[in-house]
Amino acid sequence: MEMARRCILHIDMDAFFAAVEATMNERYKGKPLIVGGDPSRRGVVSTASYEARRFGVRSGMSLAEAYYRCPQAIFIEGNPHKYVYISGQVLRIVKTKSPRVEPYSIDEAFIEMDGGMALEEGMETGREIKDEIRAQLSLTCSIGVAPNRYLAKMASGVKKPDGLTMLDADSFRRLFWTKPTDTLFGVGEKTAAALRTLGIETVRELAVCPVNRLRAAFGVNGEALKQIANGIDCSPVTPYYEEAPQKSLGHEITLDHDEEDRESLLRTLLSLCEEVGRDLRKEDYRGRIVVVKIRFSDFKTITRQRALNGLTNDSEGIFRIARELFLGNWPGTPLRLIGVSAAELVHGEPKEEEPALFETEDRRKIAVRAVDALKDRFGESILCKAAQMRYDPA
Amino acid sequence: MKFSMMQGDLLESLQVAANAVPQKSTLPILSHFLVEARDGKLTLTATDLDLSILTTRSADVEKEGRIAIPARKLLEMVREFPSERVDVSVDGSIVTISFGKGIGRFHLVTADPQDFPQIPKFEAGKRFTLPLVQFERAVERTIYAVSADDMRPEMNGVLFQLNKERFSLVATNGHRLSRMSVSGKFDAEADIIVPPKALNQVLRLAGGIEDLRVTMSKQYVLFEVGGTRIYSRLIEGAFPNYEQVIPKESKRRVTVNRQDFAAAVRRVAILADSITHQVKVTLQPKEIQIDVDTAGVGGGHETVAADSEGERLDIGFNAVYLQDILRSLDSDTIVIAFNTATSAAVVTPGMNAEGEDVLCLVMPLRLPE
Repeated sequence: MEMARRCILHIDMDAFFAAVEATMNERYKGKPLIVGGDPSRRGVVSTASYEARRFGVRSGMSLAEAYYRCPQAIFIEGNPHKYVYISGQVLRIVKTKSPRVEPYSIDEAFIEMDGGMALEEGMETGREIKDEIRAQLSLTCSIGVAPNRYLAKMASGVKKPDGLTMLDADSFRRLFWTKPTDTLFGVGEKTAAALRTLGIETVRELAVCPVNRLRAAFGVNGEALKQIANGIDCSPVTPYYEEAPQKSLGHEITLDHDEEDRESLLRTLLSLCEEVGRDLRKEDYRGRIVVVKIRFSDFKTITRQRALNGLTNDSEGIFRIARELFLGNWPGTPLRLIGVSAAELVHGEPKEEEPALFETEDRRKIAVRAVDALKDRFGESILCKAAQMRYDPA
Repeated sequence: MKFSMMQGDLLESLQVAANAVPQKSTLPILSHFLVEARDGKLTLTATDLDLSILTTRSADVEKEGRIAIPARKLLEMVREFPSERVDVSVDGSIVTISFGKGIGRFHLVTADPQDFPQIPKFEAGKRFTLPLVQFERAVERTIYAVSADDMRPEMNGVLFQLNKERFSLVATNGHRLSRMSVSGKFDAEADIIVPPKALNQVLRLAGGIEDLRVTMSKQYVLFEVGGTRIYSRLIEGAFPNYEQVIPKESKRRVTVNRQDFAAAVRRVAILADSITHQVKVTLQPKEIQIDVDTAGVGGGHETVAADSEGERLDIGFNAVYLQDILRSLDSDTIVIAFNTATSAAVVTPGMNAEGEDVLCLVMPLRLPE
């Protein structure tokens, strides 16, 4: 079967948060700039400017390590509102080229051009987008042009910053087949290590590996791995307005310091559950699965989940399950991060419920609605559960 | 440690204790039996931390001791042994289990008994005794109504209430409710929510024993049946105020043969919607009609003779709820009391067994317009 010819652009803003800050503050220009916060506190680098990256600073690195590598850098707290606003401006420019735009993260998007457009023509559009973004927002981006999403994503990373790269299946093979498997987007350290145990080191070896072997080792993901190593990807670009149903919704927090106090951890867990429940209700979702994530001080991370018998968006119920999962899997050692999410979400009102014998449930729903309404009006901090507050005798 | 006993006796004890071994657990020690030989008795303990079972019976104890043995392996092994004397002896961390004076000989790696969780202490607990047969009947008549909804933990158990004159068990899932009270003379008071798993264990052990000894503390309950103790964590929270939802009076009462009605509901229910299980019950003079009409599936109709007076009333029910009630009762006839098509119906036995009072409540389903 011959696939319809497609032309997809992947746009990736260069050092987005740092670049936005630099456009708004002359002093940051051309300097190593690290967005993430005060390096004496806990936290991670959200973005480092290219000047800082030269010292080996990367997104996701702890601020302390970033400081060690580049003490002369300017460390600033991020301002998400700014980034969301600029991100919207970027999308506005991109949408003038094609209506089929899928924001992938705050600084990335996929754009599907009209059916049948040649890649060369896509390159031309990419150039226009880059020019307009530079002219209007003083920012640079890297764009990949390819016949599918996966290749487009790989292409935008070929030359960064300020790149524009076309990548078809042939050039993908030429460029990537000799490289280690973890150069592929979606293949992390763990997968690469697992592949090595199968004797697979390079993308080429993965691409030609019999699918049965991969399936035996990775299940359904085995097939997907082989596909991406061959540069094959049939997934569509889903514009925002036809938003793909959300699959999970969660919150996590890196703790101020490695925490091992049970009460303090449970308090944090409760706050996370309150946020998850609140977001579910705001977005009109209900979840079937509660997931708890625990990261130990050595960065070892586990997630544990439990399926419910029904659907819920009730913070208290989520906390009850999350608490059980947490206490059942936490050995009492210091933790670096905890997270809670709800998965297998269902959108919209549930079907008419069975008539109930008791009104208690209804009364609680009314209370939750009242609290939500207060938060909508006066902000999230207007009310909280007493258990979320720290007991301070002083 | 060294002891011996007949294969059948050992197997029975293992099977009783195995009910508390969790299917899977993050704590490896929980997949073990704590095995103790002392004073001519063998005691097996298993726990999933919420439910613990401790069962004791006599054995020929040659050398006292305690050890933790992998539960499933030991049970599977002893089940396959011939009906002969089984010898169990421990050397270091290895337990050897043999039958027929060594014809069959197996060994298993054990775990440190020190790692086994402590069983709750009941020093200051309230103690009382209940008639086991009636307790068992009360469990059977209520336990099916327990909710499985994780979001309503207070309904995930059976409410046990005791005062000087009676004890009652009550269970509900918010849409149906069952209660059985037993009158007698008692010497304690209680108001606790017991997980169904613990009650099911009591049912399993009930045969041939008269007394159920109960001990309660704030967070735990202990049931003693013969040589077996069942410890269970109680469910926290407030059971819904169920008494206020039991209708005080009714506009219509219908008496019908229980088995005839049950058989008809069972047949009609086959064609009911697989999620709502909705059937329509119509009260007519002298009969009850049961109808089902499910889009894309089919429909059916049955008529059951009944002692029914008054105007026609159409009322929707979840057939599964009706079946649960009809199955749990054992009277020849049942009485169903109705008010309106949207208020709870009350099902009671035509005649209660002496000292017993059974009541089932079920909310109707809204019928499509």
